[in-house]
Amino acid sequence: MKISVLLSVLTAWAAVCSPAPWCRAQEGAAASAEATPLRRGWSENFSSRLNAVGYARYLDILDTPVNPGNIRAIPAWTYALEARPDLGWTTERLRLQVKPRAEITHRVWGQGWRDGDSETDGDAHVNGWLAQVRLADALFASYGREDLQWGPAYLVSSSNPFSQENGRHDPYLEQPGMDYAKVVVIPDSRFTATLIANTDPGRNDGFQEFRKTYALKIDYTVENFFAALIPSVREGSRPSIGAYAGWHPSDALLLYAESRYADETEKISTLAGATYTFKDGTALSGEYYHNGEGNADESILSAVGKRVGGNPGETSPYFRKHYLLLQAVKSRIWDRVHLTARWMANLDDDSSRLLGLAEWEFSDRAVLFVVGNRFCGDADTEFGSLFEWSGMAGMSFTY
Amino acid sequence: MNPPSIPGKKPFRMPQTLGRWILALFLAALPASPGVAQNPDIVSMLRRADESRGNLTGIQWQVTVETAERTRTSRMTYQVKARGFDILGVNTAPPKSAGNKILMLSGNMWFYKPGLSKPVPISRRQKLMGNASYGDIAATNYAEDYLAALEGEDLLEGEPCWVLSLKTDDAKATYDTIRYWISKKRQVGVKAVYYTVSGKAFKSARMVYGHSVRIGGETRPFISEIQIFDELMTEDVTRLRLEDPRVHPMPDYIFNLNFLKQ
Repeated sequence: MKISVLLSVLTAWAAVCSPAPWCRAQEGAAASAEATPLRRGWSENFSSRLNAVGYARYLDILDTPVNPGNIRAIPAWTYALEARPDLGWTTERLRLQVKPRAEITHRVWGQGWRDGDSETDGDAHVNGWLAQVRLADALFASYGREDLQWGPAYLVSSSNPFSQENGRHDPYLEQPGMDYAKVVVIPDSRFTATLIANTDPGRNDGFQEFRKTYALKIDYTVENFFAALIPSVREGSRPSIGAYAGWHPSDALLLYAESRYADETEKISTLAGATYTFKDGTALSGEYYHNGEGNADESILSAVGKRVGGNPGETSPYFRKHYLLLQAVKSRIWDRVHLTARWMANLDDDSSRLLGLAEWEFSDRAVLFVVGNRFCGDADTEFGSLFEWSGMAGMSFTY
Repeated sequence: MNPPSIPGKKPFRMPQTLGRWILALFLAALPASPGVAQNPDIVSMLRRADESRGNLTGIQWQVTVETAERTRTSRMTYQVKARGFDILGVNTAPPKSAGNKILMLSGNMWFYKPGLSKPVPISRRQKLMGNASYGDIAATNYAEDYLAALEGEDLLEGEPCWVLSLKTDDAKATYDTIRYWISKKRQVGVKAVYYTVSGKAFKSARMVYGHSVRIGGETRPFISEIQIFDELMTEDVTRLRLEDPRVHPMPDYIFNLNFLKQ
């Protein structure tokens, strides 16, 4: 590991694990009467959230045509410590944010050509940043790096032309940010128009060639209903159009749908879902997703291969055509325990993934979490072709 | 003060309560509904009471939610901005929850916490803390959801009050039936009791007005604390303390979903 990277990691950890000057400034707000105007301005404009996450993860890797003999060298065990400070500076007109990240990772291989190997690595990077100017109350301009996601769906954000992977299945792993220029116009409380240019892949080194993409997102919100229309175009491709909408017919029920049509491929993807919340706060969700970019008949190896070498406009994280999701969430059990159970099924090859997540807020700063996945299906199926099961346990600490 | 006229106790629409009470939390003043216009005296009384819980053009406060269940006490603090029924609440404490946000815009609610890829739409039924659900702190338009009738008069800790009965069959409302006490002298809502469909009281709230603000050139009492009691498990209390109210206009961008993740 490079010395500079190690120093960056240790510095970031030191920042997270010790009371920082700006934290003391915030905590000392009560004593601000004694502070100078400069210090008061600093404490009022500066914001920080210092989060540290440590976890251990195990992947039970299968020997299948997609990963024969673990040729992809996927480690069985991963131990990680990550420092995730979010820092911000906000004034009347200007908002600056930066999300530097530092991590130390230890990996151990248990199968394949690296069987028995282990490796410790460090990394420091900026996963997100933002510079935003409020030109008027109804006009904003910004540039920055972020994981730009929207819509109500859990399975996939099918209306998103930039990245449809919404990270809902790995809630403690951060999604990589990409670089965007945005202009936001707010004519009134019902409408918002956002011009978006995805100018750089940032940290999202996907398996497809990057091309700049431009979109106009028009949001519409009225009583108990919201919707958005997202026409977009990728350089060198024909336009596509996405949309999503949600409706609260009662205080317990949310109905939603999301869709995207790509003129380049002439394929349409659609998701429909519903969430019902019981009086005790338990929420049940169901979603059906038709992936127009998917292939229901070919082997999973062939479907993956075609996607890698295929059209850059095909951005769905799934490879088959028909999917189902069922989810139950019970939050705030004794005000500090949260449970999630999620079942995703591929209706084309009869494979499925069962996810369980438990979070326990055992102090004002610390959260313990456990994530488990059970993958079911034959070796030539989407969910059954890589892992038998996986487990992750860790702790999140916030200052 | 003259009693409000009650022509045949004809029910009419009015601002709902409870949630709104807690909501005082993130409160806002309630617009008059067409139905309310049937009885201008009661409409005026309700409007005045509503104004003491919020403001149409915008208000900002610090809200502390504290819940005591058996031997355990939990506390959360929000910085809240409200305009009408649009509400933005930013969690400031405890540290594990800092940065969590709630946005209510035109009856739609979203929740965001740092680390999530995007805000999640949620139902008003989901639990916030203790006895309080999100519907309690971020209400919908009571005027559209409820029918009200003057039920009578009562003395509440020695203070003469009007007692109103609020009912709804609207599925979007958080509560089916509410009894609502309004102080005759101070013209503010001081108590609410919430009932199940079967008519059993399951939750109640008491409101304290320790602040004062200028409304229409007049100094008026303003909400400072809401206590929510579980009528079925009488030990549990959720208390909302509303501090440092600042009345000023809130532009549309404050309540814009596109900025919730920032």
